[in-house]
Amino acid sequence: MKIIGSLLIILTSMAIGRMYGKRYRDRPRQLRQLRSALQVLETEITYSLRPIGDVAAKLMQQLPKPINLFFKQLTEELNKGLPLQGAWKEAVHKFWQGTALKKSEQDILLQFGVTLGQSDRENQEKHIHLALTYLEREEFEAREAQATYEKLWNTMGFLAGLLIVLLLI
Amino acid sequence: MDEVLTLIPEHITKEILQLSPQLVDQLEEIRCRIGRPVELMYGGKPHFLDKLIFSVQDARALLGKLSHYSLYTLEEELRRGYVTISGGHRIGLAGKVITEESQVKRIRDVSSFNIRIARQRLGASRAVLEFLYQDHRWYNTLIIGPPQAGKTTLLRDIARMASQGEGIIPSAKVGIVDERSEIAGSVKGVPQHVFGPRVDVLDACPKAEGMMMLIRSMSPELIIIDEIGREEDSEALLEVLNAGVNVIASAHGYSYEQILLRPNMHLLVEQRLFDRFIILSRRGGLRVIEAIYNGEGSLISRNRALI
Amino acid sequence: MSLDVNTIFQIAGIGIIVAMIQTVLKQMGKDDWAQWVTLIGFVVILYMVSSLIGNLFDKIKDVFLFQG
Repeated sequence: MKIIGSLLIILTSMAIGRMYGKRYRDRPRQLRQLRSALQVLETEITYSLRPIGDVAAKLMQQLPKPINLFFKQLTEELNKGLPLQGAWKEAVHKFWQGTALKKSEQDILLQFGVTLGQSDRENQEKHIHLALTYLEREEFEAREAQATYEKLWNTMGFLAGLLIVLLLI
Repeated sequence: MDEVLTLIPEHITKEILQLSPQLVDQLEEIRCRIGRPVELMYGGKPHFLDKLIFSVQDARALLGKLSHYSLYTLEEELRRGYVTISGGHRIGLAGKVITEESQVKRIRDVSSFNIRIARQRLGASRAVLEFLYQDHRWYNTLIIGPPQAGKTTLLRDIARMASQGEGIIPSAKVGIVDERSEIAGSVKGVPQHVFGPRVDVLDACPKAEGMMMLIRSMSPELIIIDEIGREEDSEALLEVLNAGVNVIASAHGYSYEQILLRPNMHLLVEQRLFDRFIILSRRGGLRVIEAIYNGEGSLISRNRALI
Repeated sequence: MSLDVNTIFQIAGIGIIVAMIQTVLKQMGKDDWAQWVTLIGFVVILYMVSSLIGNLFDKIKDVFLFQG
């Protein structure tokens, strides 16, 4: 009986630890998705000259989760009749909760939104590249963080569980 | 007209709708300039909404809605200086232009918007059709008139009637070279005005090249073009007429005699290329068909019908 | 708490684990947390050891009282 109880405690604790560690694993992955999304956006804009509304609808279908949810939110906000600037901001704020992404990339995306659809093809391309560069740096740092912290949290979970078990026996 | 009203910032639309419905129906142009009151044109005269100053934010909002928030889609339009929206309405743009190799690259900062409200007048050409189709063919016709006299409206309706056929006149294959997107008001290549089943449109296409393209690809029986007057237009016209295709065109002018004074036009008239000349004018806000001349320059009708 | 092998293992185990947790926390950069954990761990162990010693003293008292 005791053994089963102890195992349960340790496993639960490990699970919690892994949950915390997951955030460190998800962030670089989502950053990579964000970067791909912007690259697809760039293609649609510079080659197909597609308006933003259409691109958002397309990306909503095309991209993997969770990044496609951002474009879903954007489409919803645009359908409400908001101009692009407002819709983008709303979409960013509403979408961010469900992600592992942090403030720095949120700022990058918000800043990019301000420039969206306001300039000609050349300059639009430049703005997209700028955002991509920033995101690339964030992704690099996120991967470094992941390397350290993910394992630490997993270990932490295990140790904490062990500690509790020992205290209770 | 609704398409136009949704584009304009709400506070301006509200003011416009407060005018009497007849006025709104007769609106010809809405002109918005940054820092100035909004100007409305109806009855051939300008009227200012003095309380409404068009702001920079208004301009941004208008441009945003016009471009669907994607300015990069309007590169061609910003170079040409106008955007055609659904309904065939044309929004002319002016402002700071940037050039590349001494050619206009595009308008970078738009500060003036000239919204021309397109109204198709079905049946505008009824009064003149009998003069334009005789001996089982369409006569090569030149419509002459000052600005806003109804040349394009007339051309549009002739194109429609010709393609549909009317009474004893059989339907014909009609091709339109719409260099300034005013005749057909096409959006994404689809004409926004009513034309009937046998009309092909080359939108925003230079006239000379366009006419040859149409002849090669669409085998038209009748070609409709507007605003001829340049040397290359005359040369292309000669080729077209030699190919056996009939042409109905329009040109700026005040009278038959005045047209003769213009060198390029003089040639065309001299060579008897046109069989009919329709003179339009504007009298007190109304568009009037003043007279119709034949190829020799003799007057054949002075019915003073209205468009 | 009685002085048996289990308890000693327990105390030892807690000590080791607290040390490991402290290391992990330090690696995470959470130095202040590390210090708290060490402190608390120390207190807990101290408590356990002192109750053991308390037991020991009781036993010794018993022995002496028995004899005396």
